[in-house]
Amino acid sequence: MRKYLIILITFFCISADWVRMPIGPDPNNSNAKIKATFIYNFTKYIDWPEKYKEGNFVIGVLGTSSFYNDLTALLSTKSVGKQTFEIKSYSNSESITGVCHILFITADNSAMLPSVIKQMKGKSTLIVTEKSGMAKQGSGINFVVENNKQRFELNKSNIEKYNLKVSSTLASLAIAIE
Amino acid sequence: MKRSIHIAVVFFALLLGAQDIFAQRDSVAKAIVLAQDQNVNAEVRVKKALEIIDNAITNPESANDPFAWYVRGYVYKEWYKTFETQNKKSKTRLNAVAFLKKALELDTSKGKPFSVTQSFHYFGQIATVTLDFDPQIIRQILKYLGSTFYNDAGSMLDAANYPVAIENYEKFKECILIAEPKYNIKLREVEFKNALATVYEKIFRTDIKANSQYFGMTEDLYKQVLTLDTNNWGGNYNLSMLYYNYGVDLINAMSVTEDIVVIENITDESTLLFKKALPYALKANALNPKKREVLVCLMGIYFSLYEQETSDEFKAKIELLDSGK
Repeated sequence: MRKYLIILITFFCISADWVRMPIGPDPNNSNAKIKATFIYNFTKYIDWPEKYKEGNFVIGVLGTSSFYNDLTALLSTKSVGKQTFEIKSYSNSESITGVCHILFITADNSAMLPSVIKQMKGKSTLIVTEKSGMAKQGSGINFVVENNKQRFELNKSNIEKYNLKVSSTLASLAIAIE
Repeated sequence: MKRSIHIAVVFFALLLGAQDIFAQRDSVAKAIVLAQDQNVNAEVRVKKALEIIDNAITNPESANDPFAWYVRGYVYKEWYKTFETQNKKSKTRLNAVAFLKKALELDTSKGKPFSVTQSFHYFGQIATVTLDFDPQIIRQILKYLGSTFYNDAGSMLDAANYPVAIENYEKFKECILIAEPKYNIKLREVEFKNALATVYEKIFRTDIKANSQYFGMTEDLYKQVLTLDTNNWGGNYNLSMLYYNYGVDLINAMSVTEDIVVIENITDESTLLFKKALPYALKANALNPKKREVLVCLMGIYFSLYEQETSDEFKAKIELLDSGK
């Protein structure tokens, strides 16, 4: 009887062990990281005018979003050339003063795009959005999901309006919007 | 006199063979009687019995004598029980199994038990014993040894010792299927493969690059489990988590300064993994809709596949579950 008890206990221990599994990491961070990595690459494949190659490289986030925190965590210690990244948060288009190399407009704040376009006139700012149709309405790059995967639309003429040059490599990886 | 009476009631197995092997069987009978003699210190009797049977087995007449092999297997089993129960790699135990199997192979009685009486010199007296050959007793010993292999397999299921666990589990299978040919091994297969897969997965996740081969090994085991039992909750859930975790791991391991071409490749791979995870998580959810961990897994998978609305639905289910309504 004792022998069988030992066997039963062992079976139980093994059964109990295999149902214990660690829960995976928070996927929110993974999706944010992919976007941040794309944004970092935009700095490599888009050329800003010479006068924008001094001081910090400013990435602005328009509207309250956890993505501001994600960008700060992921990029604030990195640099592009000699420029250190500086992540700024803007509450509205009027608050965007000074140099802003990349402006990210969250989906919830997409309605601000027309006022942003007015505000950014004459500046060399890459406007990045994340809502369907935005690349046709004035943004340079618009994040979209295609086949369950993060991709981006690129409207070359919208980018070049701001005196920015897009590399052919970046354009080839994007969904072209005209 | 007392000792002789005791010996006379000891039962053991013997195949009736040619009469000329009886002389050789004196040593064989002595070995097993000694191994059973409670008047002799356990360590002494087992050591002496092993010495006698190892000598006896060298006799050419023992080569095809199932009784001799049975006694050898029995004495080796006793040695294991006396000296080596903590040794998960006991060679004596392996030998015991091999000898008992050989006894069964040599048995021509077709499973029918029978007895023979043997007399021999034992501690200065003439001992007379009745020896029974019963294949069922051999199977019971194999079942006992099988259970020790299974227990040792379970206790060796960790990153450092899993090869020993596998060896012991295979021996368990070998023993139990001889002992009980109709034993439901499928249940044990599912348990062991699930448990072994979690060990492989732990090794893989300690360093997903250096231990990348363990991903395929884990995946293969879970798939084997699901082949055996499509509705195995653990197999479905664990396989979905394997894919999902690996997809997230790939992204987490990616440097934010990685080139865009590399990002494309990584996200292709992770998306594929999330898609692979989904059907198994859905199956686990269908099998047990109240399992919170599966709901969390599905919420994460859909989020990673950018299906926000569906992800939110599972988030709501988790909140409902947590509220106790």
